[in-house]
Amino acid sequence: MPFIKKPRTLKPLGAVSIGTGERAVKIGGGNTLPLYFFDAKLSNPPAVGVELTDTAWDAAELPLLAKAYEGAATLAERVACAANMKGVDFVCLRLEGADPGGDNLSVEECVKLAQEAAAACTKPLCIAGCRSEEKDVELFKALAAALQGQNVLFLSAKEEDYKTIGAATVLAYGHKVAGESSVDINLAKQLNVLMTQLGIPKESIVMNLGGAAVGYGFEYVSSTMDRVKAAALEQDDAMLQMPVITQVATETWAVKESMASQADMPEWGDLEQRGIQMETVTAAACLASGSDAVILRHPVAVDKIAALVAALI
Amino acid sequence: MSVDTKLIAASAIRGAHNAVAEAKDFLARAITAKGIDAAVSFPDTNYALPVIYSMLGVKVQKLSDMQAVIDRCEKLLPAGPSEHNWLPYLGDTLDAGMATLFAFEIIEGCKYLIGPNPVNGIWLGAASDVILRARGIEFVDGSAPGFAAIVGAAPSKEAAVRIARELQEKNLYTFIAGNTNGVSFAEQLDEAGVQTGWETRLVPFGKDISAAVYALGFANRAALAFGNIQPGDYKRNLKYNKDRVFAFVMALGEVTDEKYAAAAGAISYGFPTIADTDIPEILPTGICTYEHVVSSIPIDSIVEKCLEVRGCKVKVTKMPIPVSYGAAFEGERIRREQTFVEFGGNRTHAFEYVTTRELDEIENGKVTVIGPDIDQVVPGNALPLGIWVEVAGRKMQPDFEAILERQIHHIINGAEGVWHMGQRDQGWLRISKSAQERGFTFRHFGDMVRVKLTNDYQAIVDKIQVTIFTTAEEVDRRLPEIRQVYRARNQRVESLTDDSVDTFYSCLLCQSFAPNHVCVITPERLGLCGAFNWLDGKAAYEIDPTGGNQPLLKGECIDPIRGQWKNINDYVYTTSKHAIDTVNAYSMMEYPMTSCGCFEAIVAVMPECNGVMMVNREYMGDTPSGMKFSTMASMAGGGQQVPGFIGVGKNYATSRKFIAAEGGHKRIVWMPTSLKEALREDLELIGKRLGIDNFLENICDETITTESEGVMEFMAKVNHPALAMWDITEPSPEAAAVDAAREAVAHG
Repeated sequence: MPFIKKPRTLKPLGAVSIGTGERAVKIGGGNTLPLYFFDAKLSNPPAVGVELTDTAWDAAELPLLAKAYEGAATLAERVACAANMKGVDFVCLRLEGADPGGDNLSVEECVKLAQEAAAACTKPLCIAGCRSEEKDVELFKALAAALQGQNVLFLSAKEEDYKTIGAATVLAYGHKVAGESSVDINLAKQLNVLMTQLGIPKESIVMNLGGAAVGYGFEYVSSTMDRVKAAALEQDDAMLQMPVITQVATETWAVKESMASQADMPEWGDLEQRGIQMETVTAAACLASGSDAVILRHPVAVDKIAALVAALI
Repeated sequence: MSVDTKLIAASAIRGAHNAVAEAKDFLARAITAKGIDAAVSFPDTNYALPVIYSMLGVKVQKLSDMQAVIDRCEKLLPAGPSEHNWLPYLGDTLDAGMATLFAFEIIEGCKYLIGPNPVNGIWLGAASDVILRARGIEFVDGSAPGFAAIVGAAPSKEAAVRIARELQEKNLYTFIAGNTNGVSFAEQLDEAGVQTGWETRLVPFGKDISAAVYALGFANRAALAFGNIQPGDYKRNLKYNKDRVFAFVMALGEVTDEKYAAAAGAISYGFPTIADTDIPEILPTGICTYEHVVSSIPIDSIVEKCLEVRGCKVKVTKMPIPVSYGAAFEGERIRREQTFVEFGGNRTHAFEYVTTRELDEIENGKVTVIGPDIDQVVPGNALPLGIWVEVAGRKMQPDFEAILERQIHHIINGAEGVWHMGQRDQGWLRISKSAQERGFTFRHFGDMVRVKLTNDYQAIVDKIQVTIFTTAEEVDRRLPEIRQVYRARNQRVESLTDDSVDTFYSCLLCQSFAPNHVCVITPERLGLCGAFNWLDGKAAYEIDPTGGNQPLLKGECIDPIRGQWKNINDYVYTTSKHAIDTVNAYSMMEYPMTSCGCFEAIVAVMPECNGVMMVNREYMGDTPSGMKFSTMASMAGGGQQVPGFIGVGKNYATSRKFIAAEGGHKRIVWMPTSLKEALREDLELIGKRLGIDNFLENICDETITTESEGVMEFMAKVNHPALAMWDITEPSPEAAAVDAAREAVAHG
């Protein structure tokens, strides 16, 4: 039986733009199922972000990662390195140092750091908090004001704090916000409904559906994303049509395959290669499931995923 | 139109004329001093003079721009209402109010240029954009429920402090302007040593009434900044304020023409005025959510009245009890040896009861314990208990009482070391020794109920008062009365039929995982999850008018036998995203209602038996269809119409409309024993109504057989009524008659 090509184009989904001017990047806006580039020409290819924290990476056993940031002493210099990495579309700064259980940097210190980072960053900027709910709210309020006009994407607002974070970042200062849910289509939709009811325009919301490293329950992530994209594209569900961003690095660099040293696990081989593989494979699976943007850590993974996207389109 | 309204109109219009005259005077002096091209603005803002900018789209930058606004004011200024002709004049009053606000803003703008400087001592003048954004976020995220614009002065320093404290406790912002005979509310606070300023949320703008415009300008800027509303789009700006900024004017002391004029301006924002003095009122609703001007409110209850009239609800963020609170404690059991004191559970009488009162009959938040408290209890004893909850609200309806009452179980169980079972007069409660040690007392029952019902049911609960009775005398004295109410409620539910209402409710809560599924909840067919009946749908709609439960006017009836209405079909078609175009509420064989996946039970056809079986989710065993519940569930669920399979709430089996198109209860041939037991009482009644003796014994179950042949043998043995009915795969004679009649109409 001959293969008959029946391209299926659907209504384009919402796109969200981050950054300003020529450097702005658009995320989402597709009108095909994930990676069905043969159905229609994609207006915005999946975006690849690189993350770094205000505290430098512990690059023991990760020589390639260390090399990418070689000679960068300050956060601003490291941000500049990240922005210039091959394949990077945007930079995600995680303010790890703000963690009350860690360095507990004050909001003022974080604002100063973020401003330095923003000044040095030649790509659109994403800001992620320290995962302490209370601290992140205070942090985002201050950062949104300090970075006014730069169209930053804030990661993330949750059901508990979406009102304050949504109001502070999007409504007050015109930034973008990601709504974070934990691998559950219902909760994802609910949060989008709540945020739009608050008055946040759809065009300012990105979905952070949660994630997992491959082999760590990734099937849940994949099926959730499948259903989100199916509802968005095939059922025209407006409350699930926002672009999907996935923090791949935070998942994959927290599993034993990417953490156990070669000394402990000689049979597993080189730690850095393992980490890169976990990150690359997970990111590719996310793209196939529906992520419109992935955030990675390792320059080699970034390069590979960017190359994959380029090869597919 | 009332005489009062007319008096206010006359007064506000006079005040507006005065304000505009004063603005002209200020502007003339400013032009003389600085020249017509002198720059003018409030400090540190991109919104120029914000009221003028928001309403007119005019960005005042120079004195000459102000001149143009004055011209607009004069056009807006109406003549006073005629003495003899009773013409509508609310519109004129609002125009006068708006002109007044423009004039006030010009006056304050000129003051920044030629003095007296609005920033002086305790007076702060206009808020900068930085303050606006930082504080505005609190209005959006709800950490500040609204603001009070206070004009004038309290009768005494002490009264001023009390009002300020009460507003602070409720997290409201207090914007202060104007004076009464030279005394201002802010000065009263200052003299009493109360700290004012943005940090304490007590914000003195200025001593002249014109400074009240800063409060409205703040509201306008909030709409521009947080509502994405364009300057000049006055309609959306005012609507944003009405819907989202819960502000009101508290007029203390004498209300002058100028204050009336300012109040008239505030009405356009949906901000009502509440006064402590005897001034004319505007009670009919229209622009504001409730009344526009309310007067003669005693100073001690004025804050509560303000919140009520504005419809402003204050959330309590922390549960005021000495033990932890949350859903995590709901499943906690307290064994006898851990129990410090218990109530009900057949040892004593215990009831819980919610009733509706008028707004002025109860005191919001009051909790009283009548009888011994926990410190007078012998450990291990049982006490009688009555939890008597009085609720008042503008949108409260007696139909909601049972819904609120049903929450008490979850509410009380949420406390660590406290256990609750049952409902109505069947309660059984325990307080553990550890909860008692940590200071839990009986009033905390009341506190939990008060806080949770206020927070979770904001739309219907304006005021709540709880009384806890712990003596046999007090409890028993009330039981006959409330049992009568329980009976009346049962009758109400019984008497609610699909034919007796014109509105059903939709439920779309499950669309996120079954995107085409639409529940239509009727009085006689509750939601298939079993958690939502028609009254719940009605209440849910009141609580959240944009939520998942919408009223559906049933409209023209297409088929009374199968339960089909035109409007319902249309609604289902749209909301199922065009997947389903026809739904029958009472048929499982033709266009049945779809199921999401949450159903409590499945009704499945058994064609060989000419009947149906009904299987509950808890039943794990085999069924005569050869499928277990889980297999059938995957067929019935997912928002598909699968003729012969419907997902239902268990209680649907007690409805008169239970698969009515197929002939109803007489079709039931098989049911697990657990379901039989759960429904026994109701099904026996239904059997009686149908004139069938031993109705339940006619229904086969798993103890008899789980084979379809076995069921047929059993049916023959008991002479099951389904055997004598028409072929279940065909329409009933009545339904066929309806079809024929419709055909006839269509063709002829």
